[in-house]
Amino acid sequence: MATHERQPEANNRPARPMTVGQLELSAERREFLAPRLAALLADFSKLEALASSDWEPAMTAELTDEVRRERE
Amino acid sequence: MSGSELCAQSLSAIGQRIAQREVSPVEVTEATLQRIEQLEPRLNAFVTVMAESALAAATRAEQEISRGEYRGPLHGVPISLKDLFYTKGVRTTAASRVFADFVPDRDATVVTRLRDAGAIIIGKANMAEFAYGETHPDFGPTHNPWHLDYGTNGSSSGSAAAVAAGLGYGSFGSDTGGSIRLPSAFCGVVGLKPTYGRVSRAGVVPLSWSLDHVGPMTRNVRDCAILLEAVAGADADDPTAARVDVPHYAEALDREVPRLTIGVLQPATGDGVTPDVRAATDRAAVTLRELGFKTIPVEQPHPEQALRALMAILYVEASTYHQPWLRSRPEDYSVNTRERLELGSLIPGTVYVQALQARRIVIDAYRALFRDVDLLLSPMSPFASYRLGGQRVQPVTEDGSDRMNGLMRFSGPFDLTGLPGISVPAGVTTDGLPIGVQFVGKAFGEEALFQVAHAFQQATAATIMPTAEGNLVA
Repeated sequence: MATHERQPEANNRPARPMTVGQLELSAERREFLAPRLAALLADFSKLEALASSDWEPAMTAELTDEVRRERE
Repeated sequence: MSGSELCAQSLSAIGQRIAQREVSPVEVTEATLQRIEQLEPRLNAFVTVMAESALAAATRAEQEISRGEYRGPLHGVPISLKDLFYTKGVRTTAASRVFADFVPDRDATVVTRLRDAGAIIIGKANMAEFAYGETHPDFGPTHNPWHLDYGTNGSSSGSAAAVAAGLGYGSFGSDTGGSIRLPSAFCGVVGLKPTYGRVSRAGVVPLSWSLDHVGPMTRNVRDCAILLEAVAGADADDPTAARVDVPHYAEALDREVPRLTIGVLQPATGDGVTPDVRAATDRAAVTLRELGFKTIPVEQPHPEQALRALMAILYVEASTYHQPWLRSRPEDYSVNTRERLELGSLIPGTVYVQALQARRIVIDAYRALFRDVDLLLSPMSPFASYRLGGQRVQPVTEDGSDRMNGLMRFSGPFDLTGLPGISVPAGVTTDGLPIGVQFVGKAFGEEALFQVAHAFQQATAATIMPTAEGNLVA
């Protein structure tokens, strides 16, 4: 698959289409995904055993912020 | 010294030879390109080989060094990049048809820092599509230099194979659930996932913002330390890149190593660790004690819940990034990547928040564990490499877990917690395939991590080029 590098060219990263709202899946696609989604959500529901509604969610970089504060 | 002998040198050794003008950057780069040309058809480690610009950069480096403008240990040294680091004017595909023609107009911060240090960017390495577990058929799998019928695992597959096969002296990969450390273990090289915030991700195609890390892959620990030092530190273009001082990591390797306490993760039901890997990990613990470290047995906190939280976060964040292309060209993704991305779009926000709550509990559990130990030792992967081929397997198993979970047992928790982990070669299986062990440190504790990993590597002489060398060049 290796290719030699190309000459610089216009930035042609795929354009982000102007769409809003949820991803629209066909009925056929939803049917295909349904059993997998159900299994996945059933598994994720086990998070409730560990997570409590009283807990503040851990946000990005919280761990590193703590170390930074200690060192500053 | 022949071309293959040059390519077999470590990064630090070739850097010293360049500094002492025993060999020129052009000679080293030409030898590397020649080896890529020879071995790439069998490995498929690269998406793009940057031959012309690498030779031009090597010529510039040679001129600078001859003028006395030596930049440091990376000056004139060929390095590769996983093909999700933006490279100005050179396509960055993320090994997906969706980005097949994407040519960035800027370099990633890591790339800028490597160029500033004088490194020669030799090419863009193959990888799993968007670093999400699956190989897109347009790009194909990377073959393991130790045995060409075997895989490298991912997602930084080409990076690991390239380093193991001597196609460059180091590479940069990304790690969201183990994607630097696991292929490093499978290919017998060293791979570091730094602390979250240690290295900027600006200009790196994201998989999951709050889990993504980028880091170096090399043939030994010293080389890894040199590469981390070159790229670490705050970055105005990445708000998560922490303002924490960057130590002189490589210099620390020459200092006396403190007598640290190392927690050894104990076997647990369902951990999936094979006898070969268990034996290698047990031997590593013995070696550490012989080196004077104190080891104590510890239990892995919440292993299943940590992976569950990781996957819930990963599914949702990855789907969020990919929404525009998932809507407009879903058929351009590989079958399994599309399936994971679509499933992620259907997961309720409450699940995502519960995963972040669980993440806090896991972080707190590791924080408590690290009150008793300085480092952890664990297997890297529960098992060694696997044969390529076979039928496609569904991403989600019947019990609702992602089939990547078992593989990420020892890597994933540290993407979730942000703690640094390094994979170090620790032997081979009875079939002759590499095994890695993992050392994990405290946040921003890479210095101690390197010191212990280096001492371990020195003691085990496990810095090895593939024994498949004959197989590769035959």
